[in-house]
Amino acid sequence: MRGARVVIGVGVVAGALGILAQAPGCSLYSELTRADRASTPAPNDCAACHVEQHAEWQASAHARAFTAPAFVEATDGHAFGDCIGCHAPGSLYDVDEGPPAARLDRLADGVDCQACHLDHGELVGPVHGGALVEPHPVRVERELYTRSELCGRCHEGTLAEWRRHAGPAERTCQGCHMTEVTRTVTQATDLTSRVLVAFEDVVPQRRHTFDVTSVDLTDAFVLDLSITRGDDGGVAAVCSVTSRVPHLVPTGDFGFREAELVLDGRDADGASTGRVGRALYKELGTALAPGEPLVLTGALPVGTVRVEAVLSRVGRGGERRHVLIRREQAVEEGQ
Amino acid sequence: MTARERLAAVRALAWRLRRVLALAGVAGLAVTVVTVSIARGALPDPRRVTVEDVALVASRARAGVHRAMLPASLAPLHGADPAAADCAACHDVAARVPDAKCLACHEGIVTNAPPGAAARATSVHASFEGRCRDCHADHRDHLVDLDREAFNHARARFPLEGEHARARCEACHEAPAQVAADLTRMKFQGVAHGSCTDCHVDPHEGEFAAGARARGCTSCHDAHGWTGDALRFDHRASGFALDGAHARTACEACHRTTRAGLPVAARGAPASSAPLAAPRAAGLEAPASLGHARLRGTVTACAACHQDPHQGTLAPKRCDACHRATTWTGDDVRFDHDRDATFALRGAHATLACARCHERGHDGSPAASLGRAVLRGVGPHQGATDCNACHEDPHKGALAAKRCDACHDAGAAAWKGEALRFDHGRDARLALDATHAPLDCAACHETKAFRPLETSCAGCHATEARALQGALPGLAAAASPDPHAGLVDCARCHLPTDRDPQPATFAARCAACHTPRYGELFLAREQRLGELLARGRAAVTARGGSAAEQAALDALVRQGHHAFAPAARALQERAR
Repeated sequence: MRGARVVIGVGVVAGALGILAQAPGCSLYSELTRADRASTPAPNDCAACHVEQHAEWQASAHARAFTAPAFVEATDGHAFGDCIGCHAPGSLYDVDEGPPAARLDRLADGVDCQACHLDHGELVGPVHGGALVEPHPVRVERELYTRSELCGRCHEGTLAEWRRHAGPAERTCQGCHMTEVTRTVTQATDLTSRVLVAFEDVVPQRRHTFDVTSVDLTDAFVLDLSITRGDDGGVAAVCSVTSRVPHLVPTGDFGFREAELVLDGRDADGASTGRVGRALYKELGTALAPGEPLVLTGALPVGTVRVEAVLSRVGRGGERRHVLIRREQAVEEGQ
Repeated sequence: MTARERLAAVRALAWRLRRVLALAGVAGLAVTVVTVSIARGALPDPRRVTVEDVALVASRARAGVHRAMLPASLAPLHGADPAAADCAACHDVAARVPDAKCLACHEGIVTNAPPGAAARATSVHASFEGRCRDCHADHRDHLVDLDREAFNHARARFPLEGEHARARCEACHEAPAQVAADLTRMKFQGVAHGSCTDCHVDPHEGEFAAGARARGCTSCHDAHGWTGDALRFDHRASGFALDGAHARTACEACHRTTRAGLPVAARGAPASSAPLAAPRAAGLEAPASLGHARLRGTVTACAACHQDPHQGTLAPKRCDACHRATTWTGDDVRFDHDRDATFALRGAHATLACARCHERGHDGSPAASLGRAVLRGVGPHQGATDCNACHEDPHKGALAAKRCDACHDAGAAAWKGEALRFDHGRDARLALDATHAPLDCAACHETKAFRPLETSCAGCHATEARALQGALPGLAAAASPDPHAGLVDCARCHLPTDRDPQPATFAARCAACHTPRYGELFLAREQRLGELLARGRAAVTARGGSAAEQAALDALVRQGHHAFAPAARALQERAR
């Protein structure tokens, strides 16, 4: 079976290469490697083969970096151009350090593929797909793409926090925010790609989800909750949260980023009896720093039988956007 | 030589001449009688005169001579009839009456006692000089000249002076009733005279007889007069000097009752001589007069006589703390409002008429005079600075919890402006920082009530606070709140020390919490707002918009710092 596929593949590829060979320097996917800053490769172009990566990216904040309403408002309808270097970057290879220069085209694509993977017309990545015939040449820079500094080109503040707080053996940005996955580098969408993918290796690589929503937070926080009923029937709750995340929570230099620690009291019917919370902001110096416990105490009224402690990211309207850790506990009834 | 002595000398000379004349008369008469008698045959012929005849004649002659020589009878005690008396019992050969002859009968009489001797104090005669006969010549029916004019009472241990000199003898010297006018039957010696009360009734009934103020009658009274102006009484000695109007006040005005509690007759009752003690003054009723009034123990408290116009409201102050008997009203009131009242009159208060504050009497009606006005308890006197008792509170009670003098000094020339002792940080709830200190009061306090305002920034800067919440003036729909709203204190951006903050100042504030890019964002927004304002103004001008529209543009720009996106949108709309 496999032998048959190889034979067929070799024939097809040989034919294709014959076609390609007729125009040296101009490949099948030449648009992917053009070095024209005014017209860069679009994510949709990449999506033809890197289906999963594109899907992951499209669901991530990187894809919305330019079009997110919050960004639009914050930049006065994109009138303030200083932000575009990170929110619609050109290739980070175009500048030696710091945020990339603003892209000149397709701004709405936000932080797109070429920002990290295109170096003056040359596509760069951490792994080699191992396909029989590569539609575009790839330069492999394995070490670079595992380093936090890559992300830190834009996420400068968080990188600084990471450098300050992370130990030598600490995971990098990618270690948490780009979940490890083993798959082929491309995914077939049509006959040609199927042929090509058929020759690719299945290699360990990382997803392009980036967001906290994809991060495994199992051991990210330690939460201790102590609830005792006082003589008057009220409940005294003491919650201590210690972060093991190697940056502040919340982190980030721009936009509205709020986390909150909340103690929710509930009665026997599950109805809320009271709520004690604390908002956490990096700018206000109240963000959760790794290894530094945050203690929140709260008095909850008589009738409270359960207390839920929740550390979460919240949005501008106070809506809970992502739970970082949650613990629910019944009130310890004394003798 | 006194008249009395002169009279005595003339009498002595006449006495001697009379004896010579008497002897010559007797001799002549005898010759005549004998001659006539012989001629008439009544007498025998001298040649037949017997010894018996001679003896008879001699006897008759002697009797006649005697009668001629002693025309006056003797004092009764001396036997009355001189003819029957033994002349030699009193007279010596020289017809003198030596003291020794008197003292032979009248034993124990001492005369010529030296000054200081005990006898001089007890004996009538001890201090007398001269001989008994100087005073007590007989053959005048009496031994003593009881004639009122002739009797030298001054020598009788009780000189009669003043009213005493005019007194009837029997007033002091008792006599049996039936011989009331018979001086000779009166008792002259042994009449008690050591004390006034020996004769006089003490009208004061012993008021002055004992105690700390005991003093003899003569300290006030003497024989020359004892009432009215003759009274030698200094009221100051009573402990209550009669000054001012008190000196002009009738005694009875104060001494109104007798010791028995009866009313004292008003002055003008007939004056009379000093009442005498019974029985010597039997029948003489003690007149109702000051003398009978209760003199001692008269209450000297002002209120005993004067009605307190203050109705006791100034107790326990003494009347004389302010009033004197000489003057008690007007400028003479010794009242120092600063010292004596609880409210010092300083500043404008010092020039006010009293009635401006003390305008009501105790019955609530307008006071006729200051003395009848309510003095205590008028407004500020109540201890607290209840200035509102007189002053209308311009603050309308908004500052009721504060004392007026926390800010206003009544002693200062003014009570506002520079004179105001008001420290906004100390006296109000908000310390004025460098931003607020230069502001005019009216910038925050719309009225003089100076009502305490909200100390939160939003209390005054409500427009800014609303803008931060997304609501702009003149805009119907509210935008979403600025991320800072409710999270960041105003003072994180607006430092109290900012006097004239520039855009760069706030750009630095942005960068202090965020990254420097936010500072740049702020400056870009400032520039953008400026551009939009210029465009908006031009547009409004072009379409002939009102000044209010222009002002609305300015307001939008001002709030653009706190709500850039909605402000910019609104400006763009108005620029069309």
